Amino acid sequence: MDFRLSEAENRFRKEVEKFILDEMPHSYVEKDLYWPGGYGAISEFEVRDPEVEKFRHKMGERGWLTMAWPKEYGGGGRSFVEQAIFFDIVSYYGAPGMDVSTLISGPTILRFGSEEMKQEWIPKIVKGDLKFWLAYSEPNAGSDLAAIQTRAVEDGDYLVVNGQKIWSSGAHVSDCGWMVARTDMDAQPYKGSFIYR
Amino acid sequence: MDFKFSAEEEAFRGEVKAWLKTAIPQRWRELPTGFWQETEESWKISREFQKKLGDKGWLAPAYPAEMGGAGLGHIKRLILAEELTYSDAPVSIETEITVNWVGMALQHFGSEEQKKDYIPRIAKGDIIFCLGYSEPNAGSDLASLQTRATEQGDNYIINGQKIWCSYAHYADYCWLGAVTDPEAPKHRNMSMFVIDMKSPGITIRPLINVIGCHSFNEVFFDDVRIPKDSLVGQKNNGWFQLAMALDFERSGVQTAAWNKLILDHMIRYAKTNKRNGKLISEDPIMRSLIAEMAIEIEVARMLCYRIAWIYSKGGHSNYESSQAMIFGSELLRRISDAGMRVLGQYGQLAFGSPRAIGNAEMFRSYLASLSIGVGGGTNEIQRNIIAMRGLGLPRK
Repeated sequence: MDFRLSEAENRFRKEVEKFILDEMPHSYVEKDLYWPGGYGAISEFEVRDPEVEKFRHKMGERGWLTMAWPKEYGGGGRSFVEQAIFFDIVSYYGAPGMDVSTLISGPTILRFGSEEMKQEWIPKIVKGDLKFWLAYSEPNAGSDLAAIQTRAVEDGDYLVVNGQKIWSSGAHVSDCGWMVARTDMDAQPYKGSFIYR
Repeated sequence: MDFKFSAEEEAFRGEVKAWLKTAIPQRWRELPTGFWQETEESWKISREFQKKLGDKGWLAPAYPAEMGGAGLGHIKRLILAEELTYSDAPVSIETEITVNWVGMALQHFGSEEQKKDYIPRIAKGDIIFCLGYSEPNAGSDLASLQTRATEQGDNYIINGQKIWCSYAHYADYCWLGAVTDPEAPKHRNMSMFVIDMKSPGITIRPLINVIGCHSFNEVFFDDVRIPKDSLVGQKNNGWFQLAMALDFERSGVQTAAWNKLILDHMIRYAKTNKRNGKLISEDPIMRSLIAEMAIEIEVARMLCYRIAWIYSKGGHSNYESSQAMIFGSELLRRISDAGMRVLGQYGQLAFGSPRAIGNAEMFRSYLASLSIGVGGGTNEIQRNIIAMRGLGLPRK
């Protein structure tokens, strides 16, 4: 049992702190309200700010956006404790950092995606190049998320999607959606699947 | 960072669990047990059980072996305390007072003679201490206590009144705070003593608690003559010594472990009993209540684990203990309240009622929870400690 951070972890903590204080765009704190809970800043859901993107790219170059991901896909290959330290400091200073791609879609692709999908998506997420929005809730499916009605029907090489999503933060400034849709209307709920666009 | 117990520590937990299966007398299970609900019979069983623990070195597991302990360290002490509490074994606050509060303070501040005299007997379970802290006009403002210890030849003469003294009627000794320099300012005017409870001039009067049991007492000292070497540590340094003993008092894992026991009772009941034709465990309000409590128990546990870890590294836990005490005691109130809701009106039946659930643990826990968060320094005082020592806020 050990409730301390190691010396190396404490050094890393200071390194992240110094980076944020030195590099975070000066305009950022004044013009933005931070959205607590680690989903990034409100401004990132509103607009693609080149200054913020530059800052996130710098984090990406250090491998910090995807700290605990395996090295073979460009992740940092570091520990989950270091990742937690990074999240802690970034959140404390209200800095841009984590988002849907690094917190939700990326880890899920790593866990369930095919090798091709990993090669296609993960390196871009690692660099901070891709912005995702989260396509979960619908007007009649929130707490009972399994009741979603959006459909994805196979048509040749494509899936054709019909339906409505709601509370879609940042959809208007995102590159991709991380979506859950019904692929088998006869099956029990809980058998939906994820697709991207 | 490492939130696990080691394999060796887990093996020790297994050993403790296996031992407890046969070591707890069957009769104990038929009695109302738990803090502040002793009877003559339950007290007798407790004392015998504590001596059995003492023989194994498990009553004071963290004491060094040459002092009668087992030298097992503070993490194993934590494990033992968790398992003893969770199995509702015949140990209660009397062992905490004696072993982990007074015994620990005596090891810090006592003379070699005092340590040799008291510590091995404490570790064997041969003696019990009560606390002489609170007075009718000195509770949260403990530093304004008025009991006097006046030097006279080779003796101190004690005069005054103490209150809320748990188990004074059973205790062999009292760990007493008294004013030794009435001219000095508060916090620098008092000293700590160990007093033989058989000394002439001591009168003990019971205070019956909310559960209907005699655990608390008023203790009166009328010209009680004690030898000079009853003084512990430095004269007029008593406040510091007492404060450290209070840190030990707030450091235990027992409330967290007891909370888990209460929660498990609640879950078993909800899974096997119906209300309005439906299992209580299917009621969404009850389910969310139970889940909420399960989260908070994990938090309470981690606060206590951290304290054990601090002590295991040779440190001392101060505001960290206050955090654990606030959270654990307020959780005991919330969890007992949740338990009463899960049990419904059966929850209000006292021990001895034919329709009471189990041993009426929930009912007794609900009542006992009122005083947890008051004894050992009220939670308001704990918040002051966190503000001053933890956050560096000004005293006023």
